[in-house]
Amino acid sequence: MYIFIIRRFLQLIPVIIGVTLVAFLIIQLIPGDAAQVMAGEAASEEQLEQMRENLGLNEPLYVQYGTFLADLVRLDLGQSVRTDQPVMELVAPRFWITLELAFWGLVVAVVVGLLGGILAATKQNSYRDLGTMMFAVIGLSMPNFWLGLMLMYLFSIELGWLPTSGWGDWQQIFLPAITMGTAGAAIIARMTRSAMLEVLGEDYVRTARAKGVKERLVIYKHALRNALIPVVTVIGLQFGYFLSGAVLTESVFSINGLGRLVVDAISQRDFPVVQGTVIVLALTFVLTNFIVDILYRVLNKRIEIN
Amino acid sequence: MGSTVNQKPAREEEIGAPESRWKSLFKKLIRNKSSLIGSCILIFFLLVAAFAPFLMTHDPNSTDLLNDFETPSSENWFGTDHNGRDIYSRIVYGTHLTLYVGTVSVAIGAAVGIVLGLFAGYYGRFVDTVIMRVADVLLAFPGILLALAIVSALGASLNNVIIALSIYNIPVFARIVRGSVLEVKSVEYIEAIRALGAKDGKIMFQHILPNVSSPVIVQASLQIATSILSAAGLSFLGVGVQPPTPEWGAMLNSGRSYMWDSPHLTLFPGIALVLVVLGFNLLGDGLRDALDPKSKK
Repeated sequence: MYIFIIRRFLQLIPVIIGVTLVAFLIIQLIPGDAAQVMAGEAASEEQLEQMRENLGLNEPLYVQYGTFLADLVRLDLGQSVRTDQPVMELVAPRFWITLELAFWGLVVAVVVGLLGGILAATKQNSYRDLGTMMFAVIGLSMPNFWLGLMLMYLFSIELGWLPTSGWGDWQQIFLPAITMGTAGAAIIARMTRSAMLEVLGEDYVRTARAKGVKERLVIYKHALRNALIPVVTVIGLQFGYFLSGAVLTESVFSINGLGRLVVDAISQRDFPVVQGTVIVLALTFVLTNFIVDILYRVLNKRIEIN
Repeated sequence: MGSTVNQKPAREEEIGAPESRWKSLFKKLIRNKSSLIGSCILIFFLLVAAFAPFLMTHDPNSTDLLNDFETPSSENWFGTDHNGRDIYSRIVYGTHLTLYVGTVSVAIGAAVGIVLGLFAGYYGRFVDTVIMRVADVLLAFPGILLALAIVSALGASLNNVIIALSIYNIPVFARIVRGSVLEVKSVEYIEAIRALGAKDGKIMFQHILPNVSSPVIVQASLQIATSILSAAGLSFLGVGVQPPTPEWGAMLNSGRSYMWDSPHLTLFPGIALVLVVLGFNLLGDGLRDALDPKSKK
């Protein structure tokens, strides 16, 4: 087990380096003079030179990347070219907001998804099954930002039940969480359904039923437990996708998280902030997947031993 | 092992008779409810895109400030927007953009991804390691983050959105193809062809590729759905296709400021988007049921 964790961790290293390289290349990808793009059309030659000096753009590429990596190891993500604030100071408080948002989205996704999946699987090919799966595929096809706008219209503008925007109050959690969680709920419901159907066809479930175990117990104790293992992986992956889904949700509900930070930074051509946010989001995603992998392994091991 | 005798004719049919294979696929797709509904939706939108000039009731970009924020009526079926433009005509005109972005970015991403996946799976070792590590890195950016990063650097335009989404699609296909190649590579038939002296390129593209096409076709349909959503998302954030182009995501972005009094500005482009994406998702689901014998028990 420890060997597995260490080996899996070693595999992470090239990915992490690759992620930093891609983030580093964002500035290099800018067509034309990056300093000019960031400083704006009206910038004087001195200002441009200052900008290049600050960002190290005059150095050869490998030196630039080396500095970039060395700073990164010291948790230094550079400075905003707009406000001169350290990017880390901008990112850190917003990171928690996005994480919190992703968490509530995941809660919605898991609760609705598991329930839907079980409801569908326990009565295969019934109208209940068909209806749940239809909802799932529609949920999967809905742009979350549009869903957010529609929810906002219905619950905030028409009914006046919930606030339209912001973050911090408990009432402000519902709409963004549903917006984020819907697609995830759809994916989890489909996954749970197919995993349950597979398990319900297994011999030990038939044995349990033959023994006269109550149907409810068969489903929740015998079937669901084992069906959950592949579902855990999907849930873990979803959390990572929520981090990027947050970009759109935060934009809809004016939530001051990482997503809004990166979008604002893009419109202000503040590329160090874009780089910093992209790195933080991608690394969080990579680490989440790492943890999910280990969790999956642990769960599987326990089943094997039992 | 006992079933090898039974498997053989099935495999020969799969490889040797492409016509009957397409025919049987077509029959399966019609019988499958998902793909039937999905195809109908997509054919509808294809027709809308093709006959857009005849279906539009107004010029999609002509403004009429005296008639802004009109609610749906017999004159403006879906109402008018903040510049008095006819929303119905804009949605009809925008259909081809949505289909174009989705299909082209997946076509480019799949083409590059398939070649890389074939190389990685066929040659293995060093080639495999390099290609798949790069794919891992690209897949480390969740959802639209990679596309967002690329578009932010290249600048907001339709072509840059397509470039960004193509790159985003490459590792998805590379990974799937590689996996399937590893399964097919050691099949006796491929070994026999290699023993006969066929060149690597011929083996890969003529003999292995047709055998790994099923998962690619399924994924392509689902990936077009994802790409359309991502493209609309980028436009919605203001970093994709720019107004006044009647792209659906951009329409949603400009409409959101008027949610309070005129929700119809965001309602109709959103419904169109849901329907198109639903079409590709349903088709993908149906294709999977039809092509993957494992999933149909």
